[in-house]
Amino acid sequence: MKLQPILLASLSLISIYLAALIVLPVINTPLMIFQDDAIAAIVNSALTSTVAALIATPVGSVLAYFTMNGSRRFLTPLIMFPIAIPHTAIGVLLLPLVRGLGAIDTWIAIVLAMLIVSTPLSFATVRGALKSMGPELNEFLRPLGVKEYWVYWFYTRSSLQSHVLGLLLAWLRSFSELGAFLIIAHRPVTAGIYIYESFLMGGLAYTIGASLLLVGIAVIFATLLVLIGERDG
Amino acid sequence: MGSLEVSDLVVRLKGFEVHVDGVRVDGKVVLLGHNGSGKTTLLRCIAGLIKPLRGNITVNGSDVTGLPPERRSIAYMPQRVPLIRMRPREIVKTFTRMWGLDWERFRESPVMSRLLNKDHLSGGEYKVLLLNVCLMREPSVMLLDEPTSHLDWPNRKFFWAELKRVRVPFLYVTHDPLEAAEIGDEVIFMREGKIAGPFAIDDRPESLYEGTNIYKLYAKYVGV
Repeated sequence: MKLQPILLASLSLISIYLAALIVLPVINTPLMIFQDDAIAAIVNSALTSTVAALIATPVGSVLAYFTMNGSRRFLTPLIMFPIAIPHTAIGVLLLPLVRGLGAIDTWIAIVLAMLIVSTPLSFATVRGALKSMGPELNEFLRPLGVKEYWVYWFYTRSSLQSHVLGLLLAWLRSFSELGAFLIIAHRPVTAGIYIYESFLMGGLAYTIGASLLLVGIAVIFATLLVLIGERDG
Repeated sequence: MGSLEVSDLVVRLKGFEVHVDGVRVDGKVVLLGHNGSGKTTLLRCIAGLIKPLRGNITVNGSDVTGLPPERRSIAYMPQRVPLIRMRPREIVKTFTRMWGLDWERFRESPVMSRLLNKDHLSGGEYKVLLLNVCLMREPSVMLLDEPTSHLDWPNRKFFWAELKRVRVPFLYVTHDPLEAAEIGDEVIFMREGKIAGPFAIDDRPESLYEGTNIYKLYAKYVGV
């Protein structure tokens, strides 16, 4: 019961923040222009995010299992580093590879950048679930002669909801990417690039509609995350 | 009947040393000791999950000390096996498919048949299911690490009843003397990494439990 005033105060602050975030730009913008290509950019982002998340989740899952115990856990920083650096730096690091593939400004470059930035999230989510299960399942199965891939299968099957959570987080992270695209993939136009370029060319009026649409999509996905996270415990 | 023998075994883990001069398991043997006395370390070493510094582990007369866990013919049930989030039927079907066994065979026992028709199992039922999964592999010896430590009284009774039907020799770890008397024929004591025994168990605690007032009240108001 003691928490109630703190909870109310927090909710009030969040509400004020969200209201300001959504309402103030609209008030300050004399004319809100919503261009058709905004939808195309968002659809591009959604499709490429889906492809990236569908790859990042199994990759993150296998890496999480592989680094769960023993000395292999020291590989974790190598997988997690994209979270800690500006994503323009990831674009720079990817540039030689993407250039080598002849894939600058292509779908491949977009998905590759999304994959690098989203895999740490699916990895961390699944790894948390596997760590909470501990090594005991492995220690139960191994003496029974259960092969490694079946052990992995049992761990995965028992942490299915965390995998779904990892998939959603990977999708959200991919969807919101901009930094790496500024270096390797201005085209096809994705949501982040669209807003950045529209703002440079036309100012607030040209970007506010698309930004609000993105807020709506993010809120829907964040709600799904909360619901699945709560079900998972 | 299989048998397990451990001789002059030394295991060191995080500065703690377990030293076992000799243990023979060819029946229902209970390993009794305080928390932190080295019981789990000994079991994990016998199962092949920790390498000993020296010593010998033999199963049915064959030296398995250097063999990986899957080649020892030993089943090991850790203290806290996480829940495999599948229906009981799916769990058993997966194992039978994996090992090329006849699934119908496992429905013959009335207890398994009942468990396999459920969607969710209690803690004790889940442990019984895992016990039966271990038995599918027909191990020579079973190692059970405090399998009832987090179970309520009816679930403990249920697990013990099922364990009593098992014909495979087992080494059963507990820190409860009454539990040791309930399920074991022999007891070994462990203290600070060293063992004493085996000693034959003569007393059975059924009368002790069931003769008490608290047991009768439990049976009446909670059920066993």
